Amino acid sequence: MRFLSLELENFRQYEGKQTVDFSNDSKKNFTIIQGANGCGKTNFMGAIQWCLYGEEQIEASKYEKSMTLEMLNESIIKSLKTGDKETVRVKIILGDDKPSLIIERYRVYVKSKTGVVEIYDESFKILEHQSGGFKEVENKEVTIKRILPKEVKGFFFFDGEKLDSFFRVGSGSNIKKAIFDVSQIELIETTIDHMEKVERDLERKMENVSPAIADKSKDKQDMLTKKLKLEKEKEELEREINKANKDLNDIEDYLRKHHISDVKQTQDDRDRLISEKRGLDDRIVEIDLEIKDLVLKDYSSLHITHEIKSTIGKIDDLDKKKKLPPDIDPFFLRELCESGKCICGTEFSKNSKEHIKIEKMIEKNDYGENADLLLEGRSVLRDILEERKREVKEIEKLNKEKKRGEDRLKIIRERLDDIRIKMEGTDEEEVSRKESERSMIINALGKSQANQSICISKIKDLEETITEHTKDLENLLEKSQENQEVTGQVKLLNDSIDTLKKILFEIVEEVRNTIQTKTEEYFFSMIWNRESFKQVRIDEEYNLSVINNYGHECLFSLSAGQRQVLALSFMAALKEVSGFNAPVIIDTPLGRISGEPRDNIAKNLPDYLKNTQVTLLVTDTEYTPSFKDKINKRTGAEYLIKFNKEKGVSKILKNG
Amino acid sequence: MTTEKINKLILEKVEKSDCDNKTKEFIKLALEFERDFLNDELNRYTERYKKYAEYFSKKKGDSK
Repeated sequence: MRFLSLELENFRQYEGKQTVDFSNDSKKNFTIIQGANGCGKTNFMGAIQWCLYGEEQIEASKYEKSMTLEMLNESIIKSLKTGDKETVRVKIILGDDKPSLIIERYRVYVKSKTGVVEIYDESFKILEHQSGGFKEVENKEVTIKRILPKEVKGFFFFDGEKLDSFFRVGSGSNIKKAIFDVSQIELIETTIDHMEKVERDLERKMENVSPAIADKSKDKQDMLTKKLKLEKEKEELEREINKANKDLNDIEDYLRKHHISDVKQTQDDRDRLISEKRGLDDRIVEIDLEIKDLVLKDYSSLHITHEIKSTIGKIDDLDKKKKLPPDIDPFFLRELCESGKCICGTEFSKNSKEHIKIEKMIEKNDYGENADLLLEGRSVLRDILEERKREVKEIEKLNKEKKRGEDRLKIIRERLDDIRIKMEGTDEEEVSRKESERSMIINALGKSQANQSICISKIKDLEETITEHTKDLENLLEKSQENQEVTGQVKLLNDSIDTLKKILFEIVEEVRNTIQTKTEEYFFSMIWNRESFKQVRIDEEYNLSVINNYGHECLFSLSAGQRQVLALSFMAALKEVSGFNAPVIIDTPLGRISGEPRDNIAKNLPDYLKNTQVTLLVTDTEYTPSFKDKINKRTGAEYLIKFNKEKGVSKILKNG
Repeated sequence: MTTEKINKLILEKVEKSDCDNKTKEFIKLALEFERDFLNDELNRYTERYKKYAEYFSKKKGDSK
């Protein structure tokens, strides 16, 4: 379903009625709405969200001022007299070719005797086209869910400037949340949660019967309470980490864009060093694992090297003495004895001198049939030693690489310290203050990350103990006759919870893999230097990484333009996996990117989301002639938001 | 995933799971109940689940 048109009336900057007819042409699927910063692009998207969901979802920090005001146009508020009423209205018409749904939300304001503008009336209605014309829909929530559920709207309506935050360090939780949201697994999570509560309820019921059950059950309850507390603590730490990362990024962004070229250059140097440090840190972890694998592979042979060498020596000795292999195969000699006939045809009896001679020859051959086995064994032992030599060389090579890496890391740390001292000691007061703030954030971040790891490990331990306790409790309950009936209920709930947890895990894993594949597909189709990259990965911890052609992780060394492409690709993948074919609206799609990278993205953006209706809210600096030229053949409608500075109001004008 | 798709997938996975038939039935009923009362108050599901658990646990066992 597509947006056919949008009507805004007195919504924030927009005075009077403003209409936008979206492009409904599948070949020209882009609608461009251009406007300078502050003219109302974000509020345009906010209006759509308010109409559909009753909330604007604009980031409060960015629009703090406007969020404190009512949504009625300020100029109209000023002109109201006591008792006057005015309406804010947003109407969206949806359909494929012809209108099939009309969604309208309005809010009436009145100016009270105290001079305050208050909400007088509100309404939300949906009209659906049925035989005989448009009829009002009774279950509006279900209709909105059918178009686009609130939980996934963020993958359809988003701000290009904010996308980068998905891929900051420690932002696995953002990606995890997105994957969980898009999976729509709330149903299973709620069911598990409710079943667990009922299970605890039933267990409590049984405590009255047996003291042993009561003790076990109490222990379990205590552990569950402790786990809940730890989970809350972990969430709080996660929030702290995200906030610290965001603050850190804001400071570094400030330094990156600083007007003094030396500050900018120093920050650029730091970015490069940090990126190199991350690569080296990762490589050292990899090396340690590779060494561990090599050592473990031949762990048993490592301790018996001396014995292996001595055995080979002994076999060599026998070989030199021509005992291995024997001159004549003992098997053949034994056959001669048994047949009593020589190869020349002469027959001999059991006690004849020929027979005795052959018997002696057999006896002389100490190793009998095992001689072949000894020779084979020697060859295997030699292979083991060869392999060991090769592995020792490999370990030496890896250790040398690790040493080089550690030496380089030492230099990097010193240089990073120098940069920090230089920035903190600069004459530019603001830069110095920001740098000190940065140092404090990094310290706090380190502590939060360490605490988070401890928390995760404690939760894991508790989970294991809880599982053991649950089993013990089940055993105790089974033994108790009085509780047999309730035991059956608890067991049923336990089995159901286990099954649902498995299903939950499977679904999330499937979605994670699909999003990984789709993100890679979009990224490779949009990125200009495709040959430099090998893979896009989302690991079990929901960390996204990009692997370059050398097999190294390079997410943090991607340019801002490349990261924007990655973010757009990730959003497109989420949108696709969500399964909803709703329109996409992107505010500032090119983010803060300028120059050549912007042109590169612009070149490929028309191919992005080919079969989806896309509306781009672009700034005048984004919508450069070259971008316009590149997207022109896919643009079906173009509008300009004209802002009147004196009155503080905006109007939407059709362009071209 | 759309609600219809995820619901279908969950049911398929419940069917394929290795738990016994009465557990499968219980899960399906619980999921159906949750779909209808996703945001309902605690007491409503608590009582309902207890009844479900009571009913299904009494039900004679069957093969997987």
